Amino acid sequence: MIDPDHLAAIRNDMMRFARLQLRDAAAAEDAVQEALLAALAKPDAFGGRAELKTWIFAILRNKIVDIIRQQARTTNVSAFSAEEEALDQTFESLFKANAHWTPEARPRDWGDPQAALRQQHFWQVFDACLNLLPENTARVFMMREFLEFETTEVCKELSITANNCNVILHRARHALRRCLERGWFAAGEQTC
Amino acid sequence: MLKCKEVTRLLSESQDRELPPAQRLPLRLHLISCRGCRNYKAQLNLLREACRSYAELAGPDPDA
Repeated sequence: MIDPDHLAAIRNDMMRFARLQLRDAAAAEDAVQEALLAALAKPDAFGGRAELKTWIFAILRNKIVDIIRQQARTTNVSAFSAEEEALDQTFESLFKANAHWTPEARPRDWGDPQAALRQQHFWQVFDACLNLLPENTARVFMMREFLEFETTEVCKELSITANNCNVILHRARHALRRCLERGWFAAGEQTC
Repeated sequence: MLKCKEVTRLLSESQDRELPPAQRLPLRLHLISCRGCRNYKAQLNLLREACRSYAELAGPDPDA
């Protein structure tokens, strides 16, 4: 029913996704294992290959959300570390005293985004940039952008205020775009 | 008149909810005249697209 080679390839993608979300190899392994078991238990629940991957990833997302909910009870996501402090200082340094961009920091034109998304190397840089985010900042960003929670749900699950959530998401997006600009789009056109 | 620093915050928030009209107009005005912030907006859109298509498009892990 399910081709073992195809499943092995999907498993690799799942591990990578789960590790990125959870930053914990053992927890990632557990989540992937459980999702695969759930999938194998119902081999007739999907049609073709594409559906299989989409379906297994949907199960994996749910497993990851469960683990995050458990972790949220014992972690304080609003905690502000030296790493977050450093990101905020970098952000401030990009602006002149009048709060407009300094010429060097002005965001560049990244050209055709679709072309970037088709390149393997882009995803390696993207992974590296995601892994550089401080843990609490990454947690909020991942829930919003990868697990596709609404911000109100993120606040609720992690017991943080809406304002704090906005601040953290802004910090994460800013850090990522800057990391990508330096790591991937550095050859892009400088605008004036 | 909005400053670029504030515009980055509004652009981030507009990824999460529709901004109130009182903020939308000044933001649009700023974007018309500021290419850096227009690029910033496009960059945030790319980030979103990359995250949403991650499972489908990101290739196998070289370490796996």
